[in-house]
Amino acid sequence: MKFDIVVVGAGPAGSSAAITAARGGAKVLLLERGPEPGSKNVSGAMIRLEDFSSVYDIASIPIERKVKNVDLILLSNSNRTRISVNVESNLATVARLKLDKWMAQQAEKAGALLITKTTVLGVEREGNEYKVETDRGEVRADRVVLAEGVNALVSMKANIRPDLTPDHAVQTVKEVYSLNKDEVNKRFGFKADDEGVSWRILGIDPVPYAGFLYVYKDAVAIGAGIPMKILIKRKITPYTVLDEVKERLGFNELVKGASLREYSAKVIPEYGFPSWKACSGKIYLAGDAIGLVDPLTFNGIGPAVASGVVAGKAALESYECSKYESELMKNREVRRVVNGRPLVKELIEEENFKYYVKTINDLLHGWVYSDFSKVKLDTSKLLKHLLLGMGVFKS
Amino acid sequence: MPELKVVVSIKQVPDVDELRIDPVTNNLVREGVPAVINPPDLHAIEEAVRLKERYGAKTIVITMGPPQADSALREALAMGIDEAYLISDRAMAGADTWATSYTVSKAVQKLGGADLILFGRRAVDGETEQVGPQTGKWLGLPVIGYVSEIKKLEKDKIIVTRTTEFDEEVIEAPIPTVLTMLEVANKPRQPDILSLIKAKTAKITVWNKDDIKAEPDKIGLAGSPTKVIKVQPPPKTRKAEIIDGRKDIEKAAKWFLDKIFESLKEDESTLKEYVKPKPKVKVNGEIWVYIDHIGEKPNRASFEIMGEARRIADLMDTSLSAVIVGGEATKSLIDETFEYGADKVYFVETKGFDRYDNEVYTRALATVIKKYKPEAVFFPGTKNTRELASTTAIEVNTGLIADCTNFDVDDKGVLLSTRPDFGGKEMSTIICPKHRPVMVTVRAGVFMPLPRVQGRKGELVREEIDDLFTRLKVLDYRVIEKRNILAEADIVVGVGRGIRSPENIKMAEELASLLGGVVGVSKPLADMGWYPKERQVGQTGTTIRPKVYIALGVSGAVQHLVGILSSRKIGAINLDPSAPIFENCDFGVVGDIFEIVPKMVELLKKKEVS
Repeated sequence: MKFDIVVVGAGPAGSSAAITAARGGAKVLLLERGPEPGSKNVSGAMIRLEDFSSVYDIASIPIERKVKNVDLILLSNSNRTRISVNVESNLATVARLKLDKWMAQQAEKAGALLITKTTVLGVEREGNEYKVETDRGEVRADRVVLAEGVNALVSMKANIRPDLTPDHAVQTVKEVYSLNKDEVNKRFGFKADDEGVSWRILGIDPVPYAGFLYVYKDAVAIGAGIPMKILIKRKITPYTVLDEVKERLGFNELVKGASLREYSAKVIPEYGFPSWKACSGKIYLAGDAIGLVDPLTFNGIGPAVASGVVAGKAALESYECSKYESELMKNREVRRVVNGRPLVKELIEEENFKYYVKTINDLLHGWVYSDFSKVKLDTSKLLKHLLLGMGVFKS
Repeated sequence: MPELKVVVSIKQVPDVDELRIDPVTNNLVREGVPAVINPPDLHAIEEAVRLKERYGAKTIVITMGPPQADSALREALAMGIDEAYLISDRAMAGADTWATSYTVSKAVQKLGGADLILFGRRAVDGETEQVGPQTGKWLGLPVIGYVSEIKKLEKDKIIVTRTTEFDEEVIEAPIPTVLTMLEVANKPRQPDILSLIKAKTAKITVWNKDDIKAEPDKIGLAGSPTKVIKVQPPPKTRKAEIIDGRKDIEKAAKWFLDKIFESLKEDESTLKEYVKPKPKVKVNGEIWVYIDHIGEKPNRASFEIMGEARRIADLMDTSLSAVIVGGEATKSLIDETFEYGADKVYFVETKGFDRYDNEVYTRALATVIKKYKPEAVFFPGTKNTRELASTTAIEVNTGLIADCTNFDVDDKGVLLSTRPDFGGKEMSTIICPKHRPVMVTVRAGVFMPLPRVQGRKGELVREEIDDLFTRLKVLDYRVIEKRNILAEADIVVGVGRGIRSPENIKMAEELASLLGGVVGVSKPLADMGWYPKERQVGQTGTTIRPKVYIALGVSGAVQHLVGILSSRKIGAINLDPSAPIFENCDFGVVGDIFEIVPKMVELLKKKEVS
C-alpha cells in the first residue's frame, strides 16, 4: 500500500507533522509502536499553550492544572534558596497519555490514518519511493517523517544520525504519586481545582542535578535529571539522587499517604541538530530524534511541535534537505534550543554547575546577613557564560 | 449450500495487564488503562476466520458498548472478519448479563440470524461466563459452552469437542447453534499492517435500541434483574509476617520452611461445628442448592455450598433444600445430600441422562423452580453448572449472580451476594430485587461443608421429567484423567522474573519436587517461552488454590496476584522489600532467592526440617 507520507511516531512531533501534512491534502499514515499514542511516553510535562495554538484547536486541550507560580529552588550543601515567580502567560501541566492521544486524534480528524501497536524497523529507498518496514509488514511512501523520539533506532539504522553519547545526554527519572484532588489542593494551598504550581530545583549534592515537580489534578510528579557522564563517573544511580531531592524538600511528608502510581526514566538529549543532519533524501527528522529539547527548561514538547510542523510542511512540499534544515533554523523554538546548547554544555560541567548553585545561594544568604565575605566571584567564568547566555536571549 | 454465516459477539475491556491497585486505598486504578478486546474473544474471532478459510463463510462481528468500542470492532476486522456492527445506546448502559444477552440476541435477529454464533468463554472483567449461553437461550438455539475444538461442519450440523474441568465430550448439534470458545482452541493471529489500514477505514454500522427493536424495559440498567449496590476494594485478609533474610541465610531458610509445613498442617476440610444464627426475617420460599455431579459422583463443591446456604436459610428462617437432576445412577446421591445437611431433597429424574445435558437439565430444573418457587438457588461454580444456571435463569426469567464468594441477608430479608470483579481486585455486592428465585453461582473452595452426619434423613420429593428432547448428541465421552495439575496442586512453587534465566528454573523444580509440589511461572516468563504456557499462574493463565503458594522472585503484578488469591497461604522470597507480593502474602523473606532456595533444598535433603 502506498502513501504520500508516512510519519513514524505519534508523539508531539509526529502528530504535528501528520496534522500539517494531512491538512495540506496529503495521504498520511501515522505509525505508533505503543498500544495508544502517549503510552510509551514518560515525560511529566509543563507546556505553554501557545506552542500548540498554531496547529491545534486548543479549546479542547486536556490540561491538568494551570501553573500560577514557578518556584525556583537552589540547594547547595547547607543552604536553600527558594524564589517564587508568578506566571502571567498560559503555562499548564499535562498528563502525556491524554495530551498525546488528543494530538493524535486531531491529526486523525485532519485526515491522517493512525495505526498503533506497529513498530517501524527500517526505512529504505527504492527508486523514487521509500519502503517502510514494520513488524507487521511493509508500506510504501514518497516521503517519510521520523519523529521516533530520543532512542531513534530507525534514524540511526538509516545512518542519518549517530547514537547519543553519555557526554550529550541527561538521564532523568520521575515518580508520580496519586492523591485525591482535594488533598492536592489542601497540601499545596490551591484555591481552585485547576490551579497549579511547578518547581524547578537545582542542586549539587550528591551530584549536580536539575529537579522538577509538577502538580497534576490528582497526582504529584517529582523528578530529577543528572548528566549521564556524571552518573557514570560517580557510579551513582539516578534514583539515589531523586531520593536525596525528596529528602531535602520534605517531599515524603508532602505526599504522605499517597501511593506511587508510576515511575519512569527518560534520556534527554543535549546535542543534536544542527550538529547532526535532520534530513536525508525525502526523510525528515523532528523532535527528540534530533535532540530538540530546550536544555535550560527540559521543554521538549514545544520544540517537538514546532519542528514537527516544519517537517510536515517539508514532507507535504517535498523540500530538499537544505531547505528543510534552513527552515528548521528559522524557527524560533528550534533556534532557542540550538543557541542554548553551548551555555548548557558549560553549565553541566560539574565544576561550573556547583559554582553557580553555591554562589547564587551564598549571594542571597550574604544579602540576608549583610555579609558577602563567603561569596567568591570568578569574573572570567561569569563573563564567558554571560556572553553565551546572551546568545540564548538574542534568539 | 447457501453461504455459511458466522457471527462473533465480543466485548471491550480494560487491559488487565495494565491494571494497578492503589496500595493505600486498595482501589482499582482505571486511569490511563487502555481498552482492548477481551482476550478470550480473540479466540472466537480467530475461530470464525478459520471457519471462513475452511468452509467459506460470511463473518460478522458485533459488540454492545459505548462508541469507543469501535476500535475493538476494527481490530476484529483486521483479523479477517467481514462486517462489523456496534450496538450502542445510552439506554443500554449498566446492563447485567440478562439484559446484555437479550440485547445481543435482538442484534443477531436484526442481522437475520446466523448459522453459528461464537463467544469467548468469558470476559476478563466480569468473569460471569453467562452472556454466551444466555444469548443462545434467548434465541432458542442449542448452546455448547467451553468448546476446545470445532471438528467438523456439515450442511446442517456441527461436531465439536467440549472440555470441562472433569470431562471431554464430542458433541453433534444442528446449526444454527451457539458456541463459547476456550482459549486452547486456537492461537489468534496478528493482523498485518495492510489489514490494519483497511480495517481502520472500514464501515462500521451503528445500531441503537430502536434499530434492533429492543424493548426498552429489557435493556440497560433499567432492564437488568440484578443491581450492583456497592463496589469496594477487597478486604485485606492476609497479615504478612516478613523477615530480613539478607544476613542469616540459614535462619531465613529454616524459618521459611517451617512456615510452609505449618501451612500444610492446618486442616480445614469441614466446619468444626455449625452455630445456627438468629433469623433476621421470615421468607416463604426455600433456599435451594443444586447438586452438581458426574454420573453418580457428586462434586464436592455442592456440599461446600450447602454449608453456606444452610446459614442463609437459617437467617431467612426457611428450610434448606437440595435439588438433584439426573437418571437412575444419580439416586445414590440422595442419602449423601441429606447427610450434608439438606432438610429436603428434590430428585428430578431425567431417565437416561445421568450426565449433564444442557437442554434436558435446563428444562428439568426450570420445571421444578417454576413449580416450587424457591427464594434462592445456589449453584457450585463449575463449568457445567455455570452454563446450566445461565440458561435456566433465562428460562425462569430471573437474575443470575456469578461466582460469589460472600453472602449476607439484610434486615429486610434481601440476599446480598458479593463477588469479585477483575479477578478479585474489586468486590461488588449485588442484589436481585424483583425477580425470584435469586440465582447465584458460588466459587468453589471458598466455603466449607457442614460436618457429615451419617444416617441423617429428610423429606424426599420426586419429580419425573417426561420431555427428554435434546438437540445435543454426545458422540464420544471421556473423563479427563490428567487434569490441570497446577489448579489442583497442594503446593505450587511460583517463579517470577527474579529467576533471571530459564536455566535457573531448575532450582525451583528441585524445591518443588522435594516438597511434593509443582512449578508455575508468572506471565512474562511464559511469554518469553521460558516455561510452558499451561504452567502460567495468573488471571490469563491458571487460577490456583493450593494449600501453600511459594513465590520466588515474583514481584506481584495485579494479574498474577489475582491468580493466587485463593491460595490458603502465600509465602514469598524477593530481594525487593517494596515488591507488591509482600503486601499480599502471609509470610515472606526479603532476600536473595539464589541464596535462600539452595539453602532450603540443602536442609530438605538433609531432612533437618519436617
